[in-house]
Amino acid sequence: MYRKIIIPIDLAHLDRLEKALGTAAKLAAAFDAETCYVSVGASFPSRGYDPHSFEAKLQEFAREQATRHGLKTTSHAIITLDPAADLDRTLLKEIEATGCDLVVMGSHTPGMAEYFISSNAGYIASHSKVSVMVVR
Amino acid sequence: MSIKPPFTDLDIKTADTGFYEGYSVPIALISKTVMSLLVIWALVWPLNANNMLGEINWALLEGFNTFYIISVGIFAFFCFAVAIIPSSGRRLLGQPGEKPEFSTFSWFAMMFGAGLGVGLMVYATAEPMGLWGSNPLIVAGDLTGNTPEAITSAMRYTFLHYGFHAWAIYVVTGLSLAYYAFTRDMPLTVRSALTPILGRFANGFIGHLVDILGVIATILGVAVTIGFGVSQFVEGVYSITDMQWLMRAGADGAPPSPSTVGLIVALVIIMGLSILSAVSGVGRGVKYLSNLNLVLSVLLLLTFVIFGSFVFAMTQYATTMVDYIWHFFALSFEAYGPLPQAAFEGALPEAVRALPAEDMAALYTGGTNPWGSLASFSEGLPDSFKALENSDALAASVYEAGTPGRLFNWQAGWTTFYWAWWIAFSPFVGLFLARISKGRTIREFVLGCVIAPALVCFAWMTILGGTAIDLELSGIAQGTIIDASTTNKLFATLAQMISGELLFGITVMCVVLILTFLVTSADSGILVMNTIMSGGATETGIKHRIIWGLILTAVIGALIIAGNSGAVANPLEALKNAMIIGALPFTGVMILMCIALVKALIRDEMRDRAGIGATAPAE
Repeated sequence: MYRKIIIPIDLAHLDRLEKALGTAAKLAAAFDAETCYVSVGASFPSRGYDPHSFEAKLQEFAREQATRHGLKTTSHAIITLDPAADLDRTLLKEIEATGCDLVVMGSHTPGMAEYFISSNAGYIASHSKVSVMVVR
Repeated sequence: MSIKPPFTDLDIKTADTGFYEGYSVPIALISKTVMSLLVIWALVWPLNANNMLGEINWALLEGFNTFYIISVGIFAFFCFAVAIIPSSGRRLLGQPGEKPEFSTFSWFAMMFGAGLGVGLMVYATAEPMGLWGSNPLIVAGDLTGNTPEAITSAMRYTFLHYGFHAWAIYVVTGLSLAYYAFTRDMPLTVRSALTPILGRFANGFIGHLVDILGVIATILGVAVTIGFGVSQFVEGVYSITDMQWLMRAGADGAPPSPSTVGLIVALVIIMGLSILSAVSGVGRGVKYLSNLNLVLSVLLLLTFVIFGSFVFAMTQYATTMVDYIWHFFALSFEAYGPLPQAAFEGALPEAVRALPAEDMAALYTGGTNPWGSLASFSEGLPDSFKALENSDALAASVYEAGTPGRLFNWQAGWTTFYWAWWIAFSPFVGLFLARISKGRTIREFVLGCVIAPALVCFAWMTILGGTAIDLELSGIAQGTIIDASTTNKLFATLAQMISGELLFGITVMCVVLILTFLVTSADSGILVMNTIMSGGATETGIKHRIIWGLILTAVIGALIIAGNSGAVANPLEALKNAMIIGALPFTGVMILMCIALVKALIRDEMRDRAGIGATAPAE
């Protein structure tokens, strides 16, 4: 049913993505789908983040997921000027460009703030043309 | 001699979860508390806040005016020295072999975008015009204001305030930030620039303090810029629409000035747009607006080239350039000290010293007031003085005795205001310059960011300001431009230069240009504050951009209300005073930045020779 699953991740918050990553791996195994880990980073270094090694770290992460869950994985690191503001649009473009048919994405429990600004996963779910699974 | 690798282990503790995720809690909370207290003070006790800020400001200036002037002189010479010395000038802001990120053309274009801020709209005609009426040579009595002889001195000081010094201030901060970020992979934030001096203490409270000073300076610097811009925006809208509620009549036949209501409404509109632009991100709002700014500025400049006094301006440009460079050293370090009343009285002729104390105080105030002339001073003399024998000659000698005081008051009120403004703006512009200059050598960076933008500013000021001066000299304007308020001078000049539908069109364009300049300054300011508060992260939360946008709005609004509540209502006075006070500690930080950079450059040179990489080990 699904051929390619795209999983947007944030390398700085992997601990909070355990559930989403596990779900994605199970789904990929069930449908024998390819997984693609995507991450958006800034073009400038900041604490614990360095754009030079960003792509390598993401590849490393994808390989580690491949061995742990026995999956076919790829990865794509995207560098933008202003990740906080560009994240949603960048991800939508990426979803279209990779031709994936399912997005699995972690999110937090919605609260008061979501009445004003939707969460990233909420935005993707509203605007993406392919199926989106939001893992809370 | 062995030499250690540099300290690059900057670890700014940021919150891992919750509302402040990714932000340094102490920096955010202390900055917010300080700003909230300022807002509450200015709103609850506006009169008290206005007077106190004024008093603190003048008390500080008496002690620190010289410090401001000399520091800025040092910054300019520091920049040139670092660029000229071969071993530092050729160092690359980046990893060895790295190429510049942006082409030289777009590098320059972006630089002008940052530099051609709203200050150039407000002051393009106001600055040369104002200096034509009052500058140190006129204050000292060597020249008479508003005469053809005074033009070159007026332009000399215009060049001083908008020239190499202004850009050198930005470059000191920008170079420091860029150097550590690109050669040592350290976060792009204020405290990185002090790590060669602070070492591991940069991770502790001192590091926070440095960042907080940067945030406060940025807020107040941006606040003054927006305050002036909003005031000019209201004047512009008024001249198009003629809506009376925007203005209030000036006392004693003075020209009308923007009303508090008008200013606050304009402020809310402009800040609302700025927050929208900041939320939409650097790649969208900020970029499109910068391009629009550039196009509209060129159109305005062309209007002045075609209808203004272009030949007059170009002749003046060449004359002033030579004059400016000739006096460069003197302009850099000529600091005037305050003249205490006792010293003033000591220099007076015997006959005058016998006058009653309150008349002496009046003489002191009048004699040290740099905004008047001998004629206006003589008119305002107390009766007891006028009754003295030979009072005209005495008045001249009293005025002469007040010269040092007038020079000090002039400098503290004018040059130092600019220096403080540029210093308050330097974390903001410096961060921006650093961001776009990866892969350039130090020499390219300094010469590119000091000389090129300064030359453009000079052309802008000479063409717009020169036209205004020429209109007054030739008698066409008949004093209307001289009498217009600072923020209305541009519109007054336009009204003299062109007429009819063209005037209407250009005025509308200016209002739009002021609006887009303001939005660009405000949204970039919001982004920079957030970057500093998150320990140099460029990825800053959307929520926090909105919150800081609102804080900035509150600070400007509260200070405008406080400033307008004073006996002499001036909406911008409280903002200016708060900014000059707030920029003082950051001046100290900038001096330390220079020292730190000298140390880093020398040590990195030694490390290169010893074969130790100055950069963090590659991953």
